[in-house]
Amino acid sequence: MQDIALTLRAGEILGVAGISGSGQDELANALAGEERRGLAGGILLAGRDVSAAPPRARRALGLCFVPAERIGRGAVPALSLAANTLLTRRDPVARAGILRWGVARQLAARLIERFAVRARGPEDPAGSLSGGNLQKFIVGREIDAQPRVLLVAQPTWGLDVGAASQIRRDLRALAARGVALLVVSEDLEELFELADDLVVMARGRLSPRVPVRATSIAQIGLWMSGLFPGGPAPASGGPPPAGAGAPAADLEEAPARG
Amino acid sequence: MASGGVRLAARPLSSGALAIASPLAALTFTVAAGALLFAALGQPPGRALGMFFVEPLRDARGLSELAIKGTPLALIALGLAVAFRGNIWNIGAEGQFILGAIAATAVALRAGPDTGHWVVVPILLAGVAGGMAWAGLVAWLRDQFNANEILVSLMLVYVAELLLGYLVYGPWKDPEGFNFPQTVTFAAGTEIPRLAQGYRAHAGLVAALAAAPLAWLFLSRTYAGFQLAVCGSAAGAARYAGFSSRRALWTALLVSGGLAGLAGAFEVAGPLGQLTPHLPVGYGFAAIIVAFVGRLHPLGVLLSSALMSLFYIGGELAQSRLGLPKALTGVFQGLLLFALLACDALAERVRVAAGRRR
Repeated sequence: MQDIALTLRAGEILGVAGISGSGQDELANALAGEERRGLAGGILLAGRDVSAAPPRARRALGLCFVPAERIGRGAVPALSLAANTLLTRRDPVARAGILRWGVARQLAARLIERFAVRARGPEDPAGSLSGGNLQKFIVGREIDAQPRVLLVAQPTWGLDVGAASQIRRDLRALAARGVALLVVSEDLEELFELADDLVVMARGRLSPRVPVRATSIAQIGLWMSGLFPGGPAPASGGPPPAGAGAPAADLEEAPARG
Repeated sequence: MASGGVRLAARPLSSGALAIASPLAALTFTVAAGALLFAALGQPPGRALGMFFVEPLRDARGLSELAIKGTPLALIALGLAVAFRGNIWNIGAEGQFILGAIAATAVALRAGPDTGHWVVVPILLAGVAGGMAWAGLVAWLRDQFNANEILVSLMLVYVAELLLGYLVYGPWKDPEGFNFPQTVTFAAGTEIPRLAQGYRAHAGLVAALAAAPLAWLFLSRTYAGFQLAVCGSAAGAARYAGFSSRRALWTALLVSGGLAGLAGAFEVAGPLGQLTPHLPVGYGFAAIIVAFVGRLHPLGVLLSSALMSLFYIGGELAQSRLGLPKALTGVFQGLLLFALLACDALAERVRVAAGRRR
């Protein structure tokens, strides 16, 4: 990744488009805190420098993440849904690190009900759920954590229509409540449906931001090949804009509304 | 349940019934194979099996001996169960057991004839520290240089054996021991308290029985245990959650090393009463089988360590009373592990087939 500078404001959904392997995964990992090495710039969360903070510390500050891989990353297939809440939620952990399984089961049951997950109950292993229902559970787990910023990678990848539309609805409702969302997706139609603004990543570089209303799938498609001002391919826009020298991933959040 | 196409994945969670049925089927197979083996050796299978599996359980002395051998197996296997749950393959518990015994000996040798029984406590603590240090070496090498913990822990067993040999043939050799490679007999105060007069079973059994619920609590009721299991079963999920794989590595090795070291201290200050080159008899390796036969579950480990202990005693009895080779112990151990692996693979197929039919 090079010269990444982006600002994310409360209540907005910023879509990140790009061909698979253009650096979106790295961007999401860097923002979530899973990858903290070689970060030349900084990451600000509500004015606070979290560049060195590991995922759990970022989560405590309200930065939650839904990874693209559901099985083996967003959820452990062999573990129950109740146990899978423990991946990102601290509610079931009492002092001295004792687990309160009752609380974990209640939390999982709540997620199953609130997000219409088709599962028999909190004891169901995550791997026994269909992709759509597992994704509803994972996204729900992060929404239920009341984040200030939510990163979502490939929110509806490979899902049936019903699950996909429910997840998009939930994400939009979250933004309407003042949460800042960054959605990484290879599905352009999804991004055009969900996002307020779009950026494109191509070969590790980030395009300028453009409102969804002011662009088209054709233009974004062109940008995905690197043809944007300051992009990796020779573009009509001339030399890269000044001030893009220092590589920086910059995530900011304005004070939440309301 | 499955939407979006047909999925032929194996059910991810082993159902509880199969998890228990598999070891029982393996045991049945082992006994059956043992019967054939005895027949081939010219022994009536019924009598030989009785000697192997029933005779040791018939009196208090037999049970005491069962406890003597079951104690180190259980202690070591409990630690290994924790490590294996974290996907950390500590194969060198034998070495950690030896180092625990060496460290315990270092303390025990300082006790004089007037030293009180309190000295047992520092002896045991030294054992834990010795085992932890040996396993900590493995953790450090893996952590710093990404050295394979299977190879490092295994090879450190040989280093530990050589160190033991050096000590008992060299600086720690009893000057009045007729040149036998062994230390002096420890002072009376160092002896691990026995459970009953006249029997060799000692307080180590209590420690093993107490360690099992503690290990269970750690694995199923603590956040640290949960993190260890997630690091072991889904590294990607652990990274996503922010669980430290380094911490899991150190926890797994220090817990398993510490328990193996404790077992070494109990052994040297209990039944042996001195350090000899015959200290290592393979408990550390047998405990690997014990841990798996016990399904990496603390309660299962207690049961399977009793079974494995029976194999040891049965082998000795088969040798002394029936004139059969003592190697039978190893044969039975191997048969059991082989049968268990086979039953697990079969159970997996049954599960997949059942899932397919639905």
